[in-house]
Amino acid sequence: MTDFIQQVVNGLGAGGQYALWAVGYGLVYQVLGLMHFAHGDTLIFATFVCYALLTAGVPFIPALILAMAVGAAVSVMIEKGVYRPLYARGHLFLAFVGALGAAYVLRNIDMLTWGVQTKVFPYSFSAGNIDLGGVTIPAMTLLNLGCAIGVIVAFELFLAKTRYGQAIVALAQDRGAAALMGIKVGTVVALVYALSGAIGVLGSVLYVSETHTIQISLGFTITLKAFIAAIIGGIGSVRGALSGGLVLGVTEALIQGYISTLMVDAILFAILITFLIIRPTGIGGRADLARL
Amino acid sequence: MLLRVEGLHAGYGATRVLHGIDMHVSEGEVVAVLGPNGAGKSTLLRALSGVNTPTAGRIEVEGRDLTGRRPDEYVACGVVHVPEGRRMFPYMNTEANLRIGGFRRRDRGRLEREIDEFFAHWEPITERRHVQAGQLSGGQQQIVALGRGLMANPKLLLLDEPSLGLAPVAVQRMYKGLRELAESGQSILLVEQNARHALGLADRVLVLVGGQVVHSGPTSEITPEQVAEFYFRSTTKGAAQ
Repeated sequence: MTDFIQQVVNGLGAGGQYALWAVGYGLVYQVLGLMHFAHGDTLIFATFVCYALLTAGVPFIPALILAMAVGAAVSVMIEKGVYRPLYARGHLFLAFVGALGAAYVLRNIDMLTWGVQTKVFPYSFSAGNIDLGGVTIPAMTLLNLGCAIGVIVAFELFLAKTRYGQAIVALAQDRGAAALMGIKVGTVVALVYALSGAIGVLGSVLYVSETHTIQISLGFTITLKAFIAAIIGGIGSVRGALSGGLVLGVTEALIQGYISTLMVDAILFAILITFLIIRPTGIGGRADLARL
Repeated sequence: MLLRVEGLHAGYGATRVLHGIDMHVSEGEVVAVLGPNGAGKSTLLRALSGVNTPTAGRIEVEGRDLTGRRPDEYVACGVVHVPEGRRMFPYMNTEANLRIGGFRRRDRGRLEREIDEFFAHWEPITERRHVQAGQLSGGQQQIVALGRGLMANPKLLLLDEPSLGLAPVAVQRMYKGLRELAESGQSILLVEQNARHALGLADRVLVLVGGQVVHSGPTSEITPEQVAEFYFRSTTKGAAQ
């Protein structure tokens, strides 16, 4: 039993990071109907920037904030430079292909700048543990969960209570009507991408400072996990991103602990496909919840 | 002059819908645009709110050329379009729908008071403030759509078929409200298929057939039967071709 609880605790820590990746990914899908498949590579690019800043001696918090700003800026650039021109011509599928293209370009930039080798990430949080009757709760797990819950609560409040938050909600429900309200659609779309980038970078910096390593192939992993977490939680739902991320993290940890570390991805894909077929609206399962 | 339109051409891709519309709306005036299905009435409103980019011609609001501008720029200049089919934000509550109508406004406190007044005044939605707009009846949604447009403080309100699909009692209520609005000095450009209601409200009428203005004049000079005659003539002309 202790062992089981330990696995769940481990999974919750990772799940917090997945939630941070999923929230922006789902938001972009909800507002634009577009699978943002360059999400993970954008985040890893910005995380490499964080790595470079830390290596150059910049303290952690400024480096993190700068990296989040870079994540936001690159996300906006991809939207304006790649998605929008294709989307505007009604080529939704080409926008999807464009997303894959943008992901490869970013990965190649990472490769040329930082090389293909796995790097040691130069920052880690103090690795204290709390012992609760045989179950070890790493401080990092609490930090991950705290960040995820904090960001998601703040984000829900932003959507519900602020002018621009409500503009995002309106845009997700009826883009044409939103324009008639005097909302500058282009600006709000850019805001959505910027938020998805900034929040996601927080998740990926937490991830690499926990694993102590950073490598370019992480981008695809992030995109995939964000996608799975968003689908499980109900894509586009902010709270769903949290539950989806946590469910994904715990499931992964249980598969690793009780079945096989080699089977993780196969089983996760099976779960993803099951959800897409049986419950495409996610565990929340209500269409209106899927509207942010 | 509040709105002046000269030689307006518009359409969708290769389909040309409007063929040179000249018209105007003065301050405080209610102008009705009548015409059969497919005459281009909705396209006209879509062009006048920046949703549809004209292929030729000129749109001026208070002397400013707004041809080819975006919808948000029209709203900023006081031209607010209440679209056909109401277009609620279905998962936002009624109150939030009204509030988002005032998105551009800086006087937020005043906006909140106007929202309160609107709920107090429009009895069918008074109790529906916190209900999701998608759950409202068609008549209630039309009232919210009107209110949402008014929250933008429009100089000119563009109304597309406010009676479409409503029960007769809801149509009566809607037009009673619109009459009050007109008496308060609100400038309105109203598109309708239902000539009788529109003629009861408007100062002037334009009849649009096949993307062209076939009649223009004060409402006192035309009867619903004469309007119907224009529709009929367009149909027989179409059949003869």
